[in-house]
Amino acid sequence: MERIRKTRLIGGACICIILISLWMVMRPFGFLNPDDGYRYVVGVCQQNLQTDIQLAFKSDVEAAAAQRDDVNVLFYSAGGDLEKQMQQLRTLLEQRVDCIIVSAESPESLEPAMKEVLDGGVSLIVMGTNKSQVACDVLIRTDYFEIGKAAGTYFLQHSSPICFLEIQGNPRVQRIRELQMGFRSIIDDVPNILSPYVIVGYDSYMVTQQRIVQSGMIDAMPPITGVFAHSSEMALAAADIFKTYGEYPRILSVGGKTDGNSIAVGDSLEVVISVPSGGAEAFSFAEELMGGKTVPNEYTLPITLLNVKDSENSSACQEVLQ
Amino acid sequence: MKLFDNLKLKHKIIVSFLAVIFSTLAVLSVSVDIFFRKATTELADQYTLQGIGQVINNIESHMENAENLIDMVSKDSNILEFISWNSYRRDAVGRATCANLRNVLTNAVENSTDIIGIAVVNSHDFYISNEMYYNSPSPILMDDWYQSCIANRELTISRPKDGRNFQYYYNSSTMDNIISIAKPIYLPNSTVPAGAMLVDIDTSFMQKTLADTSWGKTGFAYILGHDGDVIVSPVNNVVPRIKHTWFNENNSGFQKKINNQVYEFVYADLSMPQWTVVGVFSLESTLKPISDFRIYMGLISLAAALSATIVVSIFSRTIVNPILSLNSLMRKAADRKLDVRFNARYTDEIGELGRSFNIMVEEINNLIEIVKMEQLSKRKAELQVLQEQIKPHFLYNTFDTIHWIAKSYGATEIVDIVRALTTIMRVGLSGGRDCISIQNEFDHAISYLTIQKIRYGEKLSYKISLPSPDECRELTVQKLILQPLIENALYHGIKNRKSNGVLLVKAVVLADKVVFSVTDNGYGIPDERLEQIKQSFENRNHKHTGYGLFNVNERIRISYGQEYGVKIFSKVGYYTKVEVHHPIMPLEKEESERGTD
Repeated sequence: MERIRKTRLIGGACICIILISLWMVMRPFGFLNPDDGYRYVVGVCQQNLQTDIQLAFKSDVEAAAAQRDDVNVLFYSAGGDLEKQMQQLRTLLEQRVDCIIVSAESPESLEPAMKEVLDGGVSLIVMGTNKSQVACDVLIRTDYFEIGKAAGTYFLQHSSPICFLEIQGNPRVQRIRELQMGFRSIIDDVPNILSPYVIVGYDSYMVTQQRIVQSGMIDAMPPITGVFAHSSEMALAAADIFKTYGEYPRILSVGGKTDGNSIAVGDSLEVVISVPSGGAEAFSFAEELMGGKTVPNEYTLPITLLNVKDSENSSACQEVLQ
Repeated sequence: MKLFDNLKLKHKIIVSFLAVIFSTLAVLSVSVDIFFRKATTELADQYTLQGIGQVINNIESHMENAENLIDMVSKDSNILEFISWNSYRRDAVGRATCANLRNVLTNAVENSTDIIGIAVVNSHDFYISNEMYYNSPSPILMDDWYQSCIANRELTISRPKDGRNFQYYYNSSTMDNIISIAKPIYLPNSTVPAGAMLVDIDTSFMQKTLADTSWGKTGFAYILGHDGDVIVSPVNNVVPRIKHTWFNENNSGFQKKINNQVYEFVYADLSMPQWTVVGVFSLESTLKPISDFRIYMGLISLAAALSATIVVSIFSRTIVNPILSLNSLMRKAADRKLDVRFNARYTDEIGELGRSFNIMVEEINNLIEIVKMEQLSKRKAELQVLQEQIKPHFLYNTFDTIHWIAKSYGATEIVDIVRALTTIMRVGLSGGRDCISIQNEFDHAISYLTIQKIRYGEKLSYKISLPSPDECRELTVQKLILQPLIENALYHGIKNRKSNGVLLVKAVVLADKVVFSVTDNGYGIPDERLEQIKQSFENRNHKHTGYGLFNVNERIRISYGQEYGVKIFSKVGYYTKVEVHHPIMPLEKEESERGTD
């Protein structure tokens, strides 16, 4: 027994010496301390940061991230440059972020870089449309086809316009095509409705006003009675320019906010089909992915129809379309 | 501590030595480590600060150039004309002014490597730019940059806010890579701003400056805006994990752990704009030589520990083994194996101890031999005594036979003599005892006197005075104390008398002692001679006294102390009295029984 006790004593002393030595070796490099920096880093890579919906997306992510002290969000905007956005994705990968949220008009175009992200072991959340087909951890869809249909349905239910103006963003992107297809699927088969005028406003207030004036929409015959603008900037530009010339067509917009109050409204702007920017939802999914939770592969954002004129009481007049 | 105390000596030595070696190495390692770490970190800090200084100088130089450009362009006559407009002039002069102004701005941009766009805004909300357009229904004068610039009336530098209303037609550069400089423009002789100029600068030159500056192997630097935004940074996995609040919490450099590595942060502020240039380097990389040194130290320590263990083991063996050997020898000696000897080869303390052990064992051996010899002698003596006792017994029996033969022949005097001799011999033997009862002592004295009476006849008469029979039986005295006194009185007192001599033999039991006395009516002892005799008693030699008296005195004094012994009283021509003072010695039961045998 005495020998066993002595052996234990000597063994214990040796272990203590080893532990102290290890501690001395490790201490300068902080191996025993937790990280001081942010625990998680989320990269947000947006195609651009100009339109309301793009700005809303960023501010929603910021607001959601502000609830977490341990998360830092890196925002990148590519200024509409696809190559640049791909480069930014690679940069985020190089920065070893924990999760990347991609917001692009055509996420399919970014697939090479997104594949690298996934291969690099970084979680990927993509903002897409109903038609998007991309490999990622979570695909947050916005059903623009349904929004287009809702716009057409609204016009048919609330007025009897026979001449529409559709103000598009970039017509080459999927979102715009789906909006147009949805809108047309409702109004094309209705008798006595002329094929709508289409102008491209590139989501720009100035460009939209210039195009409306230059394309003679102010003086169109028969006069424009309904305007379907694909973004709030273009809807506002249309409302302002028509008002300038004493015209007050019914204007419907697709907005990036859930609350009509947040959109600068013109007198003619009547209805906003509100779509959440998806920023809060994307960040929420990012949190769950970083936390190791299981998340659905796809999620579709709800759509709300808001009567802007009653926006002060918007909750009373909103109608959930989906 | 108790466990340590209970360790074997060898283990104690090893543990103590190793503790000393390890603690010394540990203190040395830690001290060297701390010193070199501090020195290296400080050196790296200085090196990084030098780099930061270069970056700051470079940025401030670019900003100064941009400001100079703004000042130069602001003085152009077309700009002064434009900002003085109250309304937009669409006439030929107005168009010419605008065209000229656009050329001025385009030239300025083309002649600058950093500037990518310039816009001039007048106080009536008109603007002109080389490439930018204003994309908002809200007035330009309401833009944050314009209001800030006019309010401060000085150069302001900022990052373009998200969704800035001034946008580019063709340049695809995003606002991420741009910083904007705005400065109010004044009409001549006016102190009220008549407009402002917005200049967008590409931050690529900062990237280049940061990249061109040396930051060590793994170091880097980045520029932090006053609101915590990263203005320019290299692409790595460290910057995204840095919290800008750290710079508010610390006044100078600090260390933080990111991605399981500790980084040193050193920073300095620019005067304009109010940014911070942050130098970051990994301590692990910077201190790699020290960590290598630590490994070497660890290996050296290990080797030293191993060597020390071996040396200490050998050393402890030189101390412990002789002690263990000595210990073993002592155990053998304790088991009465006294033939063991320690082989002391050295003259150290252990050798001394061994030699002392050998001496001790030798002494024990000698003592044992002595004791053995004494025991042997004692046994021989006892045997001899026993043998000697055979002779008196033989004589005693012979006398007894003579006594009975003489009695059968009616020879009464022979019977008396033989009886007296028999009594003398019996008391003399006394079973080997030193003390006998007073009765036996008197029996012995009377027997002696009986024989002397037959010899001296009428010349001698004596008188015996005994204590009570109980006292005679119960009290003991040293044997043969009266016979020498009587013999002395006969030879020195009675023998030379012409007339009859009388002896008085007496014993008196007092409270604390028994006093025997023999008094004769002889010539007595002269005073001078008496004094000599007393001196002989005091000096314990029998030069001036007879051996009998001396012997009695010595026996009693040795046995009972100086207050007892022989005392002599005499008066010349009258008498001599010799007293023996003897303590009261009750007869023990066994003695008593034996005494009555």
